[in-house]
This record gives sequence, C-alpha cells and structure tokens, in this order.
Amino acid sequence: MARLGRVLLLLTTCLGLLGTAGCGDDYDGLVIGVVLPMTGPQATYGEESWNGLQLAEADLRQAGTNIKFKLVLKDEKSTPQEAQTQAKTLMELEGAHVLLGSVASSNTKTIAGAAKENGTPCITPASTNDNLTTGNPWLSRICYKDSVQGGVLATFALSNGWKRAAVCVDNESDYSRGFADNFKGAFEAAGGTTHFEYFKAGNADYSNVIQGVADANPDVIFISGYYEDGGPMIKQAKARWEGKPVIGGDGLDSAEFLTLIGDAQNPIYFSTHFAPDAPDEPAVKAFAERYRERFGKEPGAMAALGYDVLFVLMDAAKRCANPKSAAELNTAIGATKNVKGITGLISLDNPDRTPNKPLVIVKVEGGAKKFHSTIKP
Amino acid sequence: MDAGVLQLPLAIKLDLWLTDQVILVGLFALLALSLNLINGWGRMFSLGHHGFYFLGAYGAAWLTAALPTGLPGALVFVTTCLFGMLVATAGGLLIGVPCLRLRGDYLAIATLGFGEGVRLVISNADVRVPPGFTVPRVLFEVNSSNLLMYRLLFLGIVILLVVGVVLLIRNYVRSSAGRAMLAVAQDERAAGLLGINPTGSKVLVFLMGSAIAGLAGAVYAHYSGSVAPKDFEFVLMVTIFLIVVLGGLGSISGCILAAFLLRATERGLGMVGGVVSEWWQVEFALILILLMIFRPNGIFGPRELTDVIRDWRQRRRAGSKA
Repeated sequence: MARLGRVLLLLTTCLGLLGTAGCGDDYDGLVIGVVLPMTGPQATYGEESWNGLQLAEADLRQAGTNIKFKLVLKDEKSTPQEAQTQAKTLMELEGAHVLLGSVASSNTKTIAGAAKENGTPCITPASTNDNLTTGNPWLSRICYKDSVQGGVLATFALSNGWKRAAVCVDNESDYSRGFADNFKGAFEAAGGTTHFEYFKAGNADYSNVIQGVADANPDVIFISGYYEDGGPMIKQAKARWEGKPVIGGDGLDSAEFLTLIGDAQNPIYFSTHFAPDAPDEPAVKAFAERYRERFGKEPGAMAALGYDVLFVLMDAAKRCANPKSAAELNTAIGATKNVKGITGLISLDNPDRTPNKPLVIVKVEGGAKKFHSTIKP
Repeated sequence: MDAGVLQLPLAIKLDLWLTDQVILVGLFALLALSLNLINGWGRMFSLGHHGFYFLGAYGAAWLTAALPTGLPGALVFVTTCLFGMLVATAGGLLIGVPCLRLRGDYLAIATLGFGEGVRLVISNADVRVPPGFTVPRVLFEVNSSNLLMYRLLFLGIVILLVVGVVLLIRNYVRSSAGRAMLAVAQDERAAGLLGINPTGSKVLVFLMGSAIAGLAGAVYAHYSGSVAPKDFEFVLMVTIFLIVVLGGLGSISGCILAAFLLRATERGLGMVGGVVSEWWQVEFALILILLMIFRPNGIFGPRELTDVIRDWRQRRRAGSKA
C-alpha cells in the first residue's frame, strides 16, 4: 500500500509540474518564443543573445511601441533534438506567434523544420549554414551565410600572402562542415591549397589535429568550429604551431574564447558580425556602452545579433494589420528593407531571406579583441 | 472566455504538444525495453545501445534520401524502417559475435566503444544524409492543417510498436529459447552443461535488442524530420540506462512507467521557470540519487505492475480479515 502510494504521489507531482506550464494562454499580445542554448557547451552564446534581446526589449519599451509583446525563453540545452522539442513547446503550449533562435546551425535546422510544419515564422539571429533557408519559406535570418563568410575569409587569407591553409573541421557540425567547404571552394579557386584535419567537438585533447596541422606545415591555420573547441586547440598547440597565423569565423567570437586560448602567441584573426570598437560607428559604440553598463561584460557578436533580431521582428510587426497572423507576419519579415541594426543594414527581401551585410575582421591581441577591418562581400 | 473561436486552435495546439511528448516517451520506452532485454533478462552489461538507435535512424534517413521519388509513401516508410532495423541488426551481429564471449565490465567497455565509434565513423565517412540531415516526409507533405493527423499517425505507430515489443518480450521470456536465456543469465557454465549453447542464446537476445532499437531509431528519423549526430551521443545511452534501472531490471511495466516519469520530471523542471529551471541538471541528478537510495531495485524491482496490484489486494484482504 505504502509503496503504491509513493509511486502515485510521484506521478501526480510530475503531472502537477507539467500542468503549471499551460498558463500563458490568456495573454492577448504578440508572444515571441525564444529558443537559445542556456546550458551546455554553447551556453555563453545563449546568454549573450538573450542579453541582447533583453536590451532591445528595454529600448523598444522605452521608445514606446503600440504593439503589445512578450518574450518567452526556452533552453535548448545545446542539442538539436531538445531545440525541436522546445520550439514545439513554445508554439503549441505557450502560444508563440513567432520564434527567434537558435545559434548553432544544426539546432536551428530542427527548429525551422518544426516551424515550417506548424506554419509559424522563425528568425534565426546567428545561424550561418547556407542550406537552412533553402526550401523553408518560414525561416529568415539576420546574419550573413557561410558561403559569404567562407569567401571573405579566403580572400582575407590570400591577401595576406597565405597560400597553403590547414583546415580543422568537425564533421558532426553543420556549421563547421559547411563553412569549411565554402572556404575550400573559394580558396582553391583563387589559387590556394587546403589540407583538412578532423576533430571531435568536446574533446579534452586535440593533439591529433594539432600534430596533423603541424605536419602539413601550412601558411595559415583555419579553425572551422566553435570557440569551445577552437580555444583549447590553440592553447594546446603552443610551440607546435610555431606562431603561425590562425583564422576562424564567427564561431570563435565569444568572450570565453579569449580565456580559453591562454597565453598563445599566434596571431589570431576571425570574421564576425560586429566589433564594439569599430571606428565611425556611433550607434555601435552606444550599444556597447549600454551593454557593458547593464551586464558588466564586453558584448560579443551574438549580443549584437540578439539585439538586432528583435528590431527586425518589430519592424515587420509594425507593417502588419494583424501581427498575430502567421502568414502576414512572415510575408512582412520577408519584405524587410534597410533596417538599421548594430550589425549593419538588414534587408531580407531576397529569395534566401538573408541580408547582404559587410563582415568585420577582428584581431586577437594581448587577450583582447581589436577591430581590424571591414570587408564588403 | 469570450473568444470561443480562438479557444479551438489552442486546444488543438495542446493536443499537438501532448502527442509529441507521448511519442517521445514511447520511443524511449522502446529503447529501454530493448535494452532491458539485453541488460535485465539477459544480464549482459551493454553500453552501446545508442549506437543501434543511431544506425536505425541513419539507415532509414539515408535510404529515404537515396530512393527515387514518386514511390508510394507508405511503401517507402515501411521499407526504410525495415532497412534501419536491418542495419542495426547487422551492427549488433558485428559487435555481438566477437564480444559476447566477454563478461561484465569487459562487455560494457567493448559495447561502449562500438556505440561511440559507429557514430564517429559514419559521420566522418561522407555517407551523411543529403542535404544536411533533413529526412524528407514520405507519408504526406506536412503543414499546419494536417500536422495533428501526422502526429496522431505516429502516436498510433509508436503505441503499436510498444505493445508489439511488450508482447514479444513477454512471450519470449516464457518460451524455451527465453528460458534458455534466463538460464544462461544465471550461470553460463551450468546452462552449457544442460545442452544450451550460451553464446548462441546470448547473440540471439543481443540481436533482438539491437533490432528493436534500430526500428525505434528509424521511426524517430521519420517523425522528427531531421537527424543530427549530436543527438546520439553517450548522454542518450545514460538516459536509456537510467530508465532501465529506474524501471527495474527485468520489468516491462516498470520500464514504460520509468520512461514516462523520467521525461515528465525533466520537462517539469524545465517548465517551472526561474531558478528551478536553471538548476535542472542538479535537481534531476538529486531526484535520481534519492530514488536509488529508496528504491535501489527500481520502481517495481524485477516484478510487474500487475504483481504489485495483486499483492496489494491480497494484503488488503488479509488486513480486513484480521
């Protein structure tokens, strides 16, 4: 009796916990569902994006908007399956009219798949994989895509006289693989040669890749991956990479990266969406200052993209007679033209619903990120 | 509520969400049941079950993309699911035949290596599912108007599979081959003296387990519409193993109940919000530790829900007599 009673008690507790979730139904404004990695290996991306979104929300509310809206955040725990489950929870349980998320391309892919079948518009602030928006009219993005980033990075490397590149790839990541393939295409078309080395995300020891790269004796090392692997890789390589230049993409742009590389002496450059110290950009400087003031941290690219994505969405919502209508809102998002964001001018009125923005090259120097140059693709 | 028109879509959306959750619980129950067959009844300590799930999902996804378009959807669905099952079974054969002579921890290490290795080899070997990891919808094109139907269809499929596997295990354990398996699990040498082929019996159980896991993987690939290697990492194996231990080694109803409880607890913690959700991993671990302290043999131990209810009734009857 006591045993069965305990089991039943546990069961009812769990059901009770589930029941508390369905309370968002009587809200009559625009419900914006946000799916971000708040725990797991990509947690700093989630945190930065969410900070950016909160800052944007505060600014919008202060400026006064006649659209009633609220943000509902769900944690995708840095895995694709959880991302899809959370996207479904937002759309089906929380009544989200639009989704924002996520960061990693593999995770955004599962969210976008669910959004398409649910008929809910979705904007990703930061997923750059080219294939994401093909064949899915419900997904838009406010960042550049990897074919652009790969091309720009290849041009950048060649303009520095680096002809032979060693490329570090994680085959299990859509971002890493797509980005590396795009780089290879552009780099080899312009006369460079590439040598691929493969790593596994989340490893504690990268010595295989490091040795493989060192044996290939390249002019430049390209790490196609996220900061949580790139950082330790550079740190562990130390003398074996003999101060060779290292390049990467927006996946390396995290405050954590600067700590992870330790005292590595290699010159490091990466392409990204924004640099807080970019010259002649008062809006960027103001944003960076307010971000530091509120969160006590240096804003990364994800913070700026998180900030911009809400402005793009609200700009589209303003042009709708009824922003809660999924089809109308999605059409409006797709018609976005010249929204001035922190990361540049954003226009989504193209078949890919991807903006054509300039990229920023950042140099890591003395444990800090320094603006290097802006490149228009 | 005044807006009666608006209420209906919300109710449908809630149905959508609930079916999604039940389907995922069902898939976990399938995985746990098949692992229980190997670990619980067969007493073989396998830690490579996520590898079979992965093989099933990737096999099905790959064949779906490779088959010419225009074939009838139901045929493609069944063929790819069977293919996923076949691939997983082949994987089971590959690891089972050489490794099942190992015992205890050694077998655990060998299967663990298989489960991790097979995923790494395949995702690095250029046989990825084109384009990216998207699995085309084969039964019908899904949109917001027929999404509930699609989910209900899969709910039916998953429930059917769970019932089928429950019946299979129940009858197998009572069959002569099943009793041979139980004998081998108790004492291999003694069973050998009775004329049972221990390795053969073990391989058979192992293959059944891997086939069921592969089938679950194939259904998952079709249901979710995309597969990613990151979803088949060792964490998944831990979850399946937890369900088996929580449900009780050798308990069918315990397994299903545990799959539900584990999922509900995880979801519940994530939904409360605030500090509770932020610390979900810690709380989840704490709940598991407490459960293991108070119910070290799982919810029902090796018994079934029906046994527990019968005992409870008997005790109540005895109590009322006294």
